[in-house]
Amino acid sequence: MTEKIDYEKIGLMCGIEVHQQIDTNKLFCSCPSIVRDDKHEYEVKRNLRAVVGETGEIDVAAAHEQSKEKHFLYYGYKDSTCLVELDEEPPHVMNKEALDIVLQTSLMLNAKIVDEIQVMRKTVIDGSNTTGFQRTALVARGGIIETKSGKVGIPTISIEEESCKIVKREKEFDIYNLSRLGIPLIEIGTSPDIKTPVHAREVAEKLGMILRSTGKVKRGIGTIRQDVNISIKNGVRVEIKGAQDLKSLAKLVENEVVRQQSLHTLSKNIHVSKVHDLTKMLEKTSSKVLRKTLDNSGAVLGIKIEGFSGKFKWEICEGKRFGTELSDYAKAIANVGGLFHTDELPNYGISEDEVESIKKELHVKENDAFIIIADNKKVAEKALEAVTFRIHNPLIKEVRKANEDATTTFLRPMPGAARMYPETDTVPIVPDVKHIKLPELIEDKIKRFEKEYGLSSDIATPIVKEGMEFEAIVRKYKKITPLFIGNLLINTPREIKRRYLKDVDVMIHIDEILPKLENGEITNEAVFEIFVDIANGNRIDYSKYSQLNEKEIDKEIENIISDNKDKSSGAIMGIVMNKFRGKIDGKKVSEIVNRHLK
Amino acid sequence: MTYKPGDSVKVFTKEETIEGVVLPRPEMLEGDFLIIKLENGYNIGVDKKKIEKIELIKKAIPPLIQKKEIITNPNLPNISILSYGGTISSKIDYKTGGVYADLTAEDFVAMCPELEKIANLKAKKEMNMMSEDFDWNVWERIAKDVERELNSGQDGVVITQGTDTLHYTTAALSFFLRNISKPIIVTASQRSIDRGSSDAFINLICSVKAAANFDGAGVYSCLHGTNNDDYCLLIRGTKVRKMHTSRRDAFRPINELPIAKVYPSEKEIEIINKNYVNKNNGKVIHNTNHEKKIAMIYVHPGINPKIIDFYLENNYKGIVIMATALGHVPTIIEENSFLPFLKKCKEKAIPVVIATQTVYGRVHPLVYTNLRKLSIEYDCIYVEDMLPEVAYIKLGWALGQTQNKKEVKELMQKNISYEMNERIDEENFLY
Repeated sequence: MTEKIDYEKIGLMCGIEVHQQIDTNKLFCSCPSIVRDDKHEYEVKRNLRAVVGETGEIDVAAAHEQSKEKHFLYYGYKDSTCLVELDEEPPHVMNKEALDIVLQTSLMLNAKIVDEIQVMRKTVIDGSNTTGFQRTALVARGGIIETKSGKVGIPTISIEEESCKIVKREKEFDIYNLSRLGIPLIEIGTSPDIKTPVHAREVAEKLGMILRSTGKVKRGIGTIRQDVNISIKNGVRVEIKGAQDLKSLAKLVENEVVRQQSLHTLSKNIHVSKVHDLTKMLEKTSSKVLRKTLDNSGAVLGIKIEGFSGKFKWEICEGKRFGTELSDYAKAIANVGGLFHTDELPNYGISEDEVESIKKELHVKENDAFIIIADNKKVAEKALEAVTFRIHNPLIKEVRKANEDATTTFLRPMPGAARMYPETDTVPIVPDVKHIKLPELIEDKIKRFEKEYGLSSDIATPIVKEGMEFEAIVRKYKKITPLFIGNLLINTPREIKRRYLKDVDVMIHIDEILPKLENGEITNEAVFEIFVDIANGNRIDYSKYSQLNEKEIDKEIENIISDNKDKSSGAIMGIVMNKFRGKIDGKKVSEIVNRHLK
Repeated sequence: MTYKPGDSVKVFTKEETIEGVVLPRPEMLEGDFLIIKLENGYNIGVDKKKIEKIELIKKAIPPLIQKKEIITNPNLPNISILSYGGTISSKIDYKTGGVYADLTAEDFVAMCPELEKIANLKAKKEMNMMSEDFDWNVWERIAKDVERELNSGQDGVVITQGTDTLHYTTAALSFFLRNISKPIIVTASQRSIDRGSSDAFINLICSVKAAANFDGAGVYSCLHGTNNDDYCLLIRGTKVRKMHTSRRDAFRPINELPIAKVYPSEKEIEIINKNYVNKNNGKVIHNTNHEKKIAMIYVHPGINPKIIDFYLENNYKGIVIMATALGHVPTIIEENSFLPFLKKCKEKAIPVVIATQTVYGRVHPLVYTNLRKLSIEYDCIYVEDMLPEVAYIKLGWALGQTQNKKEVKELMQKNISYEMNERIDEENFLY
């Protein structure tokens, strides 16, 4: 993908912000950090208002949210939400364990820790925080990481509280799940040093690796999110929120660059008509969508856009049409359900005749286009004004949401500086880093395991990445080779899965089985067979694998050989192994067979 | 070099250069740090010992606050909002640390545009004091302020103050103002108004609505009824108490139902308890005579009753005992027994009022021998289901009316402002 665009030439400025959940209790209360998705146990209804910030102005992003005049329903759970999440009790002292992990990460990123940490309130009134703000504190500045494409600066490392998870957005209210609120997050922001979309992914991966090296961050879907800041020479600065999938991060950056390049080509002189009321004309429509609005004393309003025929279908970047872009904006600004445009009509029960009469009413000529919106008259008016604004200003500084298909959707205007003010319910913290030790980086540890224990990269990598207690097991069972243990942890479950399509958790049984191996009660081969039994749900019968004494085996092997004189040594070996599998070490069998065959 | 909070500066330390705006730092904190607001909005503390040089970039410019003009609507009631402090009315300029709001009607309307549609507002910042510092002088001042407003033709008054002692204020106004003919609504907020989630907005809207539209007269609190932003409860000033440190629905009616639910929406005030005097055209008069030297004693196992000696020696004129449950104090073990001290009070004709520390329920002067001993032999004044805080205020007020102990007793046991209920319903507990 990098071949298509010369990112240096188009002046790509890109930085990312990584948000990673920390695996401790919550940041400002003693609730456990459990994210629940099951049925809630109570709910609370709240409103939020845009308040005048520190600078005496209401933040534009905050004002945008309030203009939607929604209220919020919060779903609570008894085990993971308390009065602090409900905004009914002041925050407790900041979780020291969580702060230590942020301090540790700051040191790993070679950042300078601030002398005194001040907790701030960042205004957020989309309802995702019951307080109307997110508590956040800058912990360190001026870090740096090395990447294949050069150094990337880390100007800010902060600790902050996680927001509520959205459950559902309704027209009048949004529903949020309270359980996630307050989980500690570390936020790492990079400088705009990222050179290409692929580089963005590399930086995100590297930061993720560093975070996981602490061993104290949450794993799994939704526990790490990336925000991306992008601008190009002919474009604007856009912040994209909530990219969860590293694989599509590069595509996300590329799509945004393409979106900005496309929209830059849009003519600056598009004539859009004023808003027309089409209610009367359509009062007898049989279109269900329109009927619903009209029967609720709503209105159908329309605008004409000159020379815009076909433009709604225009793919401004892969997977995103201009029509969708306009409709996203109208939805966000005016809270409308959607819009209808020429390129998709007749449809939705709106007949060809109706389309024709709309065209006539709006004086739509061959190359022109129209948009209609059905809603409460004031809302529809506001939505069409928003659409008109967007056609004239297709590129504005804004916050967009990352979608699963690597496209983005308008979320809100870019927040201003009026956003942060001090959290007066906490005292500043003088950080103490004396006791903080730096963990071994995952990538270094993999290399060390390969070197020190002779593991292949194939085995060392999953052991380290999944944080398996490999070294503890090696230390505990000194007579068993690290190689055997590595194989057991990684290859045994893989092999069982391949052969029997069953999952087996090696770790659960390891302290039962390995002592028997160490004592010579069972053989190396028996270990695999035992796990096969476990995977198949059979009872473990150690007697099956108890080692036969050498004399008996010697005798049996002699018999087998004399019964199979015509067979090759390999075939005889096979027959013998079949009989003694798990009961005696394979090496020993081959030794005896060879002795007798001689 | 000199710099003041709000100035933009460049701070040089050995390790780095930091640019930002200087902010004030609360003095009581340990350590010596310079607080800097960075361009990204974050504040950080810089150890002053490490600072080598500070360069001034730009002097602070005070914030310019534009106020919207309010248009009077002759069809709406005229309501005064009097502010006495607390989180509901403090706006801090985080650049300088100063409190800048002057709480005019325009400020309230800017904060809650809905208010303009409910009443014509007149607003005045009377005082700025934390409610834990309120005392008899403040209550007297508030009573006189309210009298002035109501007798100048206002249709109702809203008082804003801190939450902590709000129920003392409502009690004091309930006795200090006589012949109350209009609604006097006291409100506050548990969350400061500089956060989007503040309960202040709905509390203010509902309070102004109650002052404007409620058909009763008297002193009432009006704050959140639940922890939802649904409605406020109008609760009688002598029957309200703060029952939670931090929840927005902390103010609860005790031993009776709330008077009404007040909704911030268009929905009408929903009356729950009709036991109140209707709004009328009478002239309010203040009677703020009071005695300040009133003691309040919280009884507990192992208490040293000699504390009473301290009050007597210091010339206290009345004592409220927050007794256990029905009205008990220790009487058997010599070192804890109240009896010798109650005897002294009786001899000195110092009224001793018994209210209960259970808050809910009624004290009883007779059901147990010890209660009889206190009420009959020691002449303690049992005040039914009167809240201890209300008993404290009322005793101060009663001693301002008469020094005659018998008359004080009669006043204490007579209902002046619905402070005692003859009946307590099943549903009046933990509303």
